[in-house]
Amino acid sequence: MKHLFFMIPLAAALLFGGCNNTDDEGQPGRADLELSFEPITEKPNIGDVVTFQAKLFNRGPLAADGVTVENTVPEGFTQVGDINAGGVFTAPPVIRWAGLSIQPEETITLSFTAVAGKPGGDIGFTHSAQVTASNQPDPDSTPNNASGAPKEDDEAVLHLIPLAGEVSLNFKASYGQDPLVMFEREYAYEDNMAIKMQLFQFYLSEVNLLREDERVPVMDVGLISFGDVYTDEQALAGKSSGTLVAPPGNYTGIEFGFGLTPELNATIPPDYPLGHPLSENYWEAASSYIFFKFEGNADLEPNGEFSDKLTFHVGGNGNYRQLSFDKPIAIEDEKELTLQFNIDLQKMLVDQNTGEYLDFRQVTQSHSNESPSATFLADHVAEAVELE
Amino acid sequence: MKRVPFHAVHSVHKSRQRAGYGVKKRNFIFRPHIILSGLAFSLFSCSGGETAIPPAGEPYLLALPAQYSTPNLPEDNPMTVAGVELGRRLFYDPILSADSSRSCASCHLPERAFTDGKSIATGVNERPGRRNAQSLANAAYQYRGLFWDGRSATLEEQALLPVEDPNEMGHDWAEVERSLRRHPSYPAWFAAAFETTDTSQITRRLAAKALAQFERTLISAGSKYDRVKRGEATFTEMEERGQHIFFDTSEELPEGECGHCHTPPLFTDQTYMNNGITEAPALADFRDKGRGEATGQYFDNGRFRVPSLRNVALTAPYMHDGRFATLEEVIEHYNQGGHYSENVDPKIRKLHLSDTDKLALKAFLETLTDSTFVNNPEFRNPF
Repeated sequence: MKHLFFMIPLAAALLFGGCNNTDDEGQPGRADLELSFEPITEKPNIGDVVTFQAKLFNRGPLAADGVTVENTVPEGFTQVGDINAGGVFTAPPVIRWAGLSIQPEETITLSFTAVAGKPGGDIGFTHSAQVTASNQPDPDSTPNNASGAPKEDDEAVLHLIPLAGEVSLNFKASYGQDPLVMFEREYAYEDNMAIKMQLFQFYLSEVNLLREDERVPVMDVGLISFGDVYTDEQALAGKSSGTLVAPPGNYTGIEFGFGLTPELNATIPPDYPLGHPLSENYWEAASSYIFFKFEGNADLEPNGEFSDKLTFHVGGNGNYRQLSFDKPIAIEDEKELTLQFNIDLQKMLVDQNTGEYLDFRQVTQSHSNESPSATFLADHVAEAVELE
Repeated sequence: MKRVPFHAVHSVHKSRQRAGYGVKKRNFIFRPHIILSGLAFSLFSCSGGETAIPPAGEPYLLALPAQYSTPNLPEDNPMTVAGVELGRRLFYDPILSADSSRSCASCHLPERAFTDGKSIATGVNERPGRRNAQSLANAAYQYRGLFWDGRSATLEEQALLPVEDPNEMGHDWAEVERSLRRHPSYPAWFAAAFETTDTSQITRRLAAKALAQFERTLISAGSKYDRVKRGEATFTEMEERGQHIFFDTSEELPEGECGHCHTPPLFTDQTYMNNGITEAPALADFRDKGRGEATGQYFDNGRFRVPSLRNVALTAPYMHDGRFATLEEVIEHYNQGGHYSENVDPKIRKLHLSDTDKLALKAFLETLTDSTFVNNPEFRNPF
């Protein structure tokens, strides 16, 4: 692992955050504790060991003892180690240095190391610390009253930007060579049948970039829906997974699950806030999310009336499919890359090798985990999805 | 081309569903958790200066049923005891209407699960509105738009509109603000809720925030259905039969197709659907375009919000225009498979329910009545 250890002059700091101390003159007869972070100027990559250093300085004329400093390890960092000065990490994510004594004009360095992981959605890490106890009064700050946005000089916050590129998965749906649009478009089907669409949606889960023998996770779960695709233009634009954070590097491919992993499928909507993809589409009676839906109308006669309703809802761990795509993928720092996928509904409905197909004259719905039609659809997902 | 044989489709999937039924008991263990609304409210900048006026007084502890997903409460309107109480007063006060004849509660009566029993709501001077008054039960959980057409994104936005709708309260917010400012009590109530220090700070925005706070307290999760799921009660034979029809979980019974859109535990998937109540050869033919009116999207014409079925036995008449007086009429509509238009949802299809099936379905729907909700004194008129 690459080891980052930086002691950079303050003038060179690019990423330093926190309150400036405006009380430069220590008050007579008191200790005056100040806390600051050493800036970190080189962006860490996933897997890098980063050394975090906080500086506790006593600007006042008197010594202070019984001082406690609590340092919150940034979310996304793991494998905390090398904690100096007797700090303890017994209540993660907080490292606690207790019983410190500090003389006037003395600086105590409090440090630890941690391994960078995947940053949060705002593409950054927040590192914070504060003095939480002292046996002496302080003229301009109160221990243990940090609000997350420093307003006193015994608190410090560091915003750390990692090396990170962005990748999005964009899905375009088609029916054979035609863009897949909802409602009025008629799609010729097998044996003189025809269909019109109203909804096509699916979950994707556990999206990983691949390199050598490593899987780099970039997304837990997403819901792709074409239910509001009404025009060719919208169909050709596709539906995006949204922007995902990815560590820079050269990858050999990407994989994701079509549907939900068994672990995710073991959860239930109340486990998530409203609006989360997994707060809906749950099939209580089957103890499963609905991995994908295909709804529309069929003209079976054919007489042009499209009066037969098609509703295929497929879930269940048995219908989860992992898809993997080999392709060189280069992720660069601060660059965005879009991976274009196409999903051909016709290939889900009709086996391109054997000619087998879902016969809508025999079955018009499946709300099932194990029906033959559900399995047929799931079994043809791999053939239907392509990475351009 | 060869066809895949699918003769066993129905029997296989039904037996599978039955086998899995009831497994997720933890889904319904009653573990109300408390949300301290607005904990994330950021009050101070780095320099120590205030960046927002903090809510006044004691935070309101919103008890959320464990079987529901957590609602998204707005950070800019944290709930307080005083704010909720102010909202309740505004909700029941006809001061919001032009002739002081109508309050929010005129169309949203607690004993009717906050509906009014009329096909079309009526406003000042008995002017007919456009649509049926919807239940406010579980309003905190509605995150995909309010009103039948979803034109308001939040409760705060929604609360502003009826006051100036000529078919509802027919008033003017500037006038309402003047009335509230010179009222003997409201200035103190606003001060308690929002730390207003001058009556000029009493605005429609604060009134809407208070109304939204009160509406977020209207949580219904104590029906017989919930008690059965918690193992505290049992369905009758008819209710059990109705549940199977509702959720398509019996091999022997017809499928009601209800649970696809009226998804538990809220009994709505919060989407907009055309459920086939109006025949429209072209989508432009809908007299009330519903969702299409809000989005301007042609294919949304004739779609309306899927309402929750919680307390549905109390909320007659039904549909956006109140065309069905009884649950029997609603069930018969679905049983017949609806009327044609291009965007009728494919799940609307003939159901082939027997008379007994219909009675069973109604019996199950009646288990969604939450008497503790409609009788909750905290939701009643405070005046």
